[in-house]
Amino acid sequence: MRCGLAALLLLCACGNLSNEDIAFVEALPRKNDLHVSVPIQSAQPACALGEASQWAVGARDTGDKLNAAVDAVLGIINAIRSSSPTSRKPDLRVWSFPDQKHPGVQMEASLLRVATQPGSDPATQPWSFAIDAQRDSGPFLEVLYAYFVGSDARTGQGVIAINFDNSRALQINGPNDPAGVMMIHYDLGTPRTIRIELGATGLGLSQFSYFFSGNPDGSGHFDYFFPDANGNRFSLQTAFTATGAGKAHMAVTTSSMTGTLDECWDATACLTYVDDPLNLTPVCQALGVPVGLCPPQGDPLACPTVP
Amino acid sequence: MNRVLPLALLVAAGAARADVHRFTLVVGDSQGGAGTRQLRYAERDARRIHGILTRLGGVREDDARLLTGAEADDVRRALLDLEGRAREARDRGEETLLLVYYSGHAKDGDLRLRDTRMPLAELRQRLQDSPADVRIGLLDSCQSGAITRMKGVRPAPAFDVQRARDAGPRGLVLIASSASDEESQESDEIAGSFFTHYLASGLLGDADASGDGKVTLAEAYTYAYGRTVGSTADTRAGAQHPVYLYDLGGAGDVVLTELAPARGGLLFGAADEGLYVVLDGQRRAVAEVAKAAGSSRRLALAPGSYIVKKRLEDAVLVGDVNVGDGVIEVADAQLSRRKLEDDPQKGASGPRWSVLGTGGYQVFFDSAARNGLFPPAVLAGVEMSARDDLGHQLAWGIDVAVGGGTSTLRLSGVPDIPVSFGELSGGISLWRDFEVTERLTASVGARLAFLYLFRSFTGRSDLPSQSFFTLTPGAELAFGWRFSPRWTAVARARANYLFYNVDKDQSLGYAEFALGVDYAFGF
Repeated sequence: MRCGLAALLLLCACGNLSNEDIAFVEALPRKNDLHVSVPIQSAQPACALGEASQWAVGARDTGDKLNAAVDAVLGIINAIRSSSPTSRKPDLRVWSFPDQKHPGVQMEASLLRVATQPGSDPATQPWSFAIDAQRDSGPFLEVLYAYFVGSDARTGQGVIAINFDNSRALQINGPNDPAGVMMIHYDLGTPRTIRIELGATGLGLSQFSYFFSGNPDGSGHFDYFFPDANGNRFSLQTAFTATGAGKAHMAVTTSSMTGTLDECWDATACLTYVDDPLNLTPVCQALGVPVGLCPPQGDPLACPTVP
Repeated sequence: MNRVLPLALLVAAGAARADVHRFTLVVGDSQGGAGTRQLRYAERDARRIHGILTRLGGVREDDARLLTGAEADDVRRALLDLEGRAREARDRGEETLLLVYYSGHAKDGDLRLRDTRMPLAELRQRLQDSPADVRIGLLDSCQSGAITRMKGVRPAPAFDVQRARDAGPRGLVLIASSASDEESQESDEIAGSFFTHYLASGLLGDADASGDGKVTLAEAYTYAYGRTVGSTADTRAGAQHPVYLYDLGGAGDVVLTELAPARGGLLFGAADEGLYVVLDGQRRAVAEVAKAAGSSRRLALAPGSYIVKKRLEDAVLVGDVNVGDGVIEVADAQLSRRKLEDDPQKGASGPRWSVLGTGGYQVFFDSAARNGLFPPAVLAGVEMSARDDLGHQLAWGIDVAVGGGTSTLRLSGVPDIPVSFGELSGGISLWRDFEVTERLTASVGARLAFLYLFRSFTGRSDLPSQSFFTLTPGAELAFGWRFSPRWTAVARARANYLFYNVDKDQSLGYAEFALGVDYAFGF
């Protein structure tokens, strides 16, 4: 109504019809683009070596947790993408809005198109993005900062830093948020690589530098970490084919020892080869041999060729 | 001084000499230069008289000149040309007649043709010196009666034609629409000037007092004089008195029009009486018949569709007629009785409403805007308009249109994004109609419109829908071809200004082209 009256009186225009707005939001990364994709099957049929690879299943589960963490912290970017900015300048868009979940908190997201030489390749266009929040009349604190390159976020690269200490200070943190900063490094070229660095345990994940590399055919690598209930720490380097077959090399640290473990699995996640000198796997434990004496099980030639 | 022609002194018209070679110059000019207001019907008056003289007045097209919007030198050249042709005809032994008609401004002794002038004295002298046997000047303009007061011309109290045994009429006749100190008036109701309207009605047949199928100069003047005085008696400017000056000798009267050769027309029978007005398709008066019972009257109208009306005290009788090759008899019993407020005559019953349906195309001038924000759109619209509401041939209308389409958004470094868009526009227009021909009207005006455009990105729910609203002023030009009394085919073009201020401040323009059909309501 007010817009219509202003238009009537001043012949001014109202609306959000803007090609530049679209150009700006196309540069923002989508949370789906930053997902880890591990093609491990869910079904666990009867396996020759008696069991499915728990590390393969673990890779899939950890990938799902990472994706959920990315969704949790980047959900606000998706909300920004689908709304119009509140202010516009030639190379800057700002979205100001109240945090619907936290009364009294005002959010402000700003996206700056960094100046480049005229005629530069759009694929090299840098952007600077930040989300600040303010509670009541307090100072604005930065809760997210990102720097990315490329006009099309689906093929660009960048880094996103989420400051959980600031969000905790603003009392807008989630119950499972870790302390410190979470960094997401990504390059959505070929292969697609995502590195997520957690400075502290949280979001259902342990402090670690998770790395994913994915190829267009669905094959890739995924390095992840997890502790078990006994406090043992496992860091894994997995590699898998497009069908989900793969292999893992694991470094284990327990209270009394350190060692490595290797195994392979097929497309159904069934173990095809296990080399477990530490007797950590049910296959070796079933043999009842002392630690360090479990012979390799299965056929190493059954291990898939992975990228 | 009134120049009334006593009927008793009317000489019965002898047979008009069929071999009289007739020439006519018809001039109509609505603009008289500085210090004068624009006339509304001068050019229409001229076209009416030209049409009557070439159709019923025995004037061949080659021997007729119609000038509208001309200047004084144009009149002089046309007159010189006709004088030359008359001289050649006379040299061949033909009897000749030159009639000059003028409708427009006259002031301070001059005809005012835009910013140029032609002294009345010059026109009179040219007519006097013309090689034609009979020279007739008909002036419909303010203060035109001054031409009758010039030295060298004898005024006379009555029309007196001397019989001569061996020659037809010879000499000069001047008729002016008003006295030298009077204004000549126009009427919106008849869409013409009073004098020319009645002169035209008389020439078409209502002045044929003798009933011989010929309208003579005397009959036409008597008729026009009486009707003009009667119709202007109650106007704000007061009664208008045509004046008549002659210097005419020879046998017989001058026949101006002959009804018999024209095949079509209307016949008002002896049984009915009253004032009948004949309207054209644009509901303007083309002729009147004021008749008493006991005598019939014929109007030799050009083929076409007409409306006949007769206004009673408490109602109006209306009927549609199509004049072709035959004579159509009009009788009161054949007319429909309607309420007075349904009087079909233009201006007689208030505004005339019509609705126009259009299909059109909108395109922005700026290529960047056209290929991004404002792609070309197909529009379907409707407009309601009112004519005869504001006077001065102004009309207004309210329109609304919807449309849209699909396009592709192309951004540097980003895959193409398909777009679906829609548009709603509407506006209010004010324009003026200009009659080009009887059926063709040109309209020029201004419009203030709103434009609401909305778009979404097909298959991209992650992108926000966008919209834009603004007011846009503009101008429009339209042509209407009336192919029936109620239906008109319309072609219209608009140009609008739009201010866009989201990405950056931009002044943009766009055009709309539309074709449609207009339907006029009621009568």
